[in-house]
Amino acid sequence: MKDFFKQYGIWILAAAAALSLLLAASSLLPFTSPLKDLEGILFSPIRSGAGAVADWFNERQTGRQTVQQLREENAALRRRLAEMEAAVRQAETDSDENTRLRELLNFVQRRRDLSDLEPARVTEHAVTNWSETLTLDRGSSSGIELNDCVLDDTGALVGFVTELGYNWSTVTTLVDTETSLGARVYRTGELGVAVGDFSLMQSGLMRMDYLSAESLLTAGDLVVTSGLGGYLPPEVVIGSILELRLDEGGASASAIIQPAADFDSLVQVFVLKSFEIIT
Amino acid sequence: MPSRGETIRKWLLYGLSALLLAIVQLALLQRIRLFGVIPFVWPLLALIPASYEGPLGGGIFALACGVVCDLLLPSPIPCLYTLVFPLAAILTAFLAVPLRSGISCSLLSAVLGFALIDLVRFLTLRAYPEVFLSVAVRELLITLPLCIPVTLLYAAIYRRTHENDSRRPI
Repeated sequence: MKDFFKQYGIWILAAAAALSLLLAASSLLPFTSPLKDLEGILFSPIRSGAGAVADWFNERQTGRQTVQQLREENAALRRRLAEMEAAVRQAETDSDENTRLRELLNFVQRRRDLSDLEPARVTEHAVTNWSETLTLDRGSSSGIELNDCVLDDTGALVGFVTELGYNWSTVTTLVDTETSLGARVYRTGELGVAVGDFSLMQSGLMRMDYLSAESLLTAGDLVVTSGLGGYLPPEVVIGSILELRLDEGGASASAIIQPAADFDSLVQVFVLKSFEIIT
Repeated sequence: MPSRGETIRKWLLYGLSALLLAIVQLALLQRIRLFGVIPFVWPLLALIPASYEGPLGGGIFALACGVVCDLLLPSPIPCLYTLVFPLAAILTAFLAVPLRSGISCSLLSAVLGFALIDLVRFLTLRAYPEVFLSVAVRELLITLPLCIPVTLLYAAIYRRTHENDSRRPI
């Protein structure tokens, strides 16, 4: 072993160090490596095809319900319908509050400043166990650029474009450890930074840091983008607060956020290619 | 001493096999979740040849695989696999001397590779240890069975390209 390292070890170490420096330097450059781009282009049709095969297979699986199951489901649905009619009558008395919240979340009517959207289909969820990413079937050929934000069909923030190819792109979702963005609690106006955390990522959650220790936040408070700096449009829904935790030392607090977007079930998303800053 | 043509042919076969395994990982394994994790075959395809070809050849092959992984896969630092794979391959090659190359040596090299990669990840992700270990152990356990087909593939290449050698792997 000693002879090997004496004879060849220094060369292998030197080669590894040189390549590491090159890779570290190239990671700082704002473009995707040609090898990654080639892989994305070659595998885009395969991803779509594999997704179609999986969809066909799933459809065959679910199509095998028996008549008896359908009858039972029908009876359960009739009972459920009666219950829901009663719930609707109750909900009519809360219509004012529902109208206000619906206006907040009604993305298409309210956010005319966010109209430059590119629809994209999700072809892959995550490539490793250590990141939470999505691969889309749209890329630079559709006008998408790096760091464009991605929304779901309710207007909730999904993540950001972090890798870009000709006909594909990779979205780093909000719960990924690489995520960090300015956030604001809608009710109180408190500002903080929403970040991904590996421990929380396993449960589909994220964290909001730099909150005041005297914060009056409660579970269910809506968290939106702050829009500070102009990198993101303001008041795009991130999620809602689950709980508030005091940091060690008690000088500040952090909140656990449940993202509004359901990353696992996303099939179609919308890439925001540009937005107007309304002052 | 093998001729230059035989050496090129040998490493071409290893490279094509690694490419085949990479395609299986990218097109198939990434879509499968077992116990909440995705099988991760990259360390196997990079490290197992070192148990057959020794520290020099195996180390350079692992270095090349590491560069490809760093260009294709997200990682906490830009050169994670470039640094870890050659080191793990050299250690694998020296492990193969007492153990003889084969399935058991491949299993140990896989454990070694994952341990080194996860050590760097743990230091950079700063996650709670119990959460991190849960993901790391599950990833290792669902990937270890893939050592068998990968070892059989590389063993076949070794036998094909070393027909005149007296040493044989188990």
